[in-house]
Amino acid sequence: MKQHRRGELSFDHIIAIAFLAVILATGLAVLQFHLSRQIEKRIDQDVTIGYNLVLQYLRQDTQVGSSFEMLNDGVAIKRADNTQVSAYRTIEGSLYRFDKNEQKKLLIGSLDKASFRQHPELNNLLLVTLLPTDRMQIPFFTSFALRGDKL
Amino acid sequence: MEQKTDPDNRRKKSDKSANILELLLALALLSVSMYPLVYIFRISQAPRQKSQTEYLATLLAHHVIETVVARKSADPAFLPLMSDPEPVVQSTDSVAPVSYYFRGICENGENICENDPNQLFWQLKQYSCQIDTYYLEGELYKVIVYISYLNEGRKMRVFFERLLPQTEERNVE
Repeated sequence: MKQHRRGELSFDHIIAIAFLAVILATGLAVLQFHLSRQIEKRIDQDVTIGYNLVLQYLRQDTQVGSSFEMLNDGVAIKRADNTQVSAYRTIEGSLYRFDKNEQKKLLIGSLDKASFRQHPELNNLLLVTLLPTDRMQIPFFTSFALRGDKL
Repeated sequence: MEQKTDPDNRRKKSDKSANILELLLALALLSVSMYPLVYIFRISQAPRQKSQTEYLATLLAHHVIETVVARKSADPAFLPLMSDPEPVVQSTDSVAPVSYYFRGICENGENICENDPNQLFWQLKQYSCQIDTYYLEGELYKVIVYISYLNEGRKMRVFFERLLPQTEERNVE
């Protein structure tokens, strides 16, 4: 009768270990997937959430706006009939959007500086620069063309 | 001392072993079947911005497209010209001219340079802007804006494109 030497694994044990390894590897893959989603969640919680709101609202407002008025603490976008579409104001380091009924909505909570300027050559182009308090985060720099005259 | 096992006990042990193996096999199959599910879930998600560098490149491409739209609105005969990759900031270590769409946009009316009051210089230094244009049928003009940057030694590009009329009419959205 064939005898097993001490310490030698049987075929059943090897198969069992292989199965356990497969389960463990899949568990690690699922854990890695979970962790990667957590990192994305953390990234989403940075200033780009506020930046996306600024992009969304300014694109929406400049579609109907035909002029803008520079304010001490921001900018107001106006229609061709001079009624206000919206205003963007910086109050105590936070950027708010005020709609035509002066209802305010917080867009970004921690800004070092917000700059709204007219392009030096084009009076229908608004240059927007936002600098976050945390300088490790990226700044916001882009432009918005007024399209209200075309409608 | 020799250990003796009678055939019934050995069979029972073998059955028990087989049951554990079957259970492990089922668990292994179940766990392996989770990976395709995770993969399908992952690819079904909307594409996300890979990094803040890519996000800023998107903002810069948006700036160029909006400048083209504003310039076309001010001057209906305007059509953007093709350009090679050009820096977006004025750097002392480069003699290449700053991209047309980034000239004079600093608060003081100059190009963005190292002493820019908004401190955008170091954030924007890595980017360059290239414009490609094509004449299309139907008197249309296609503008493609490429913003390129280096990511871990690899050249990455973000691009936006837009159709413009060649005639003096409204922009094609």
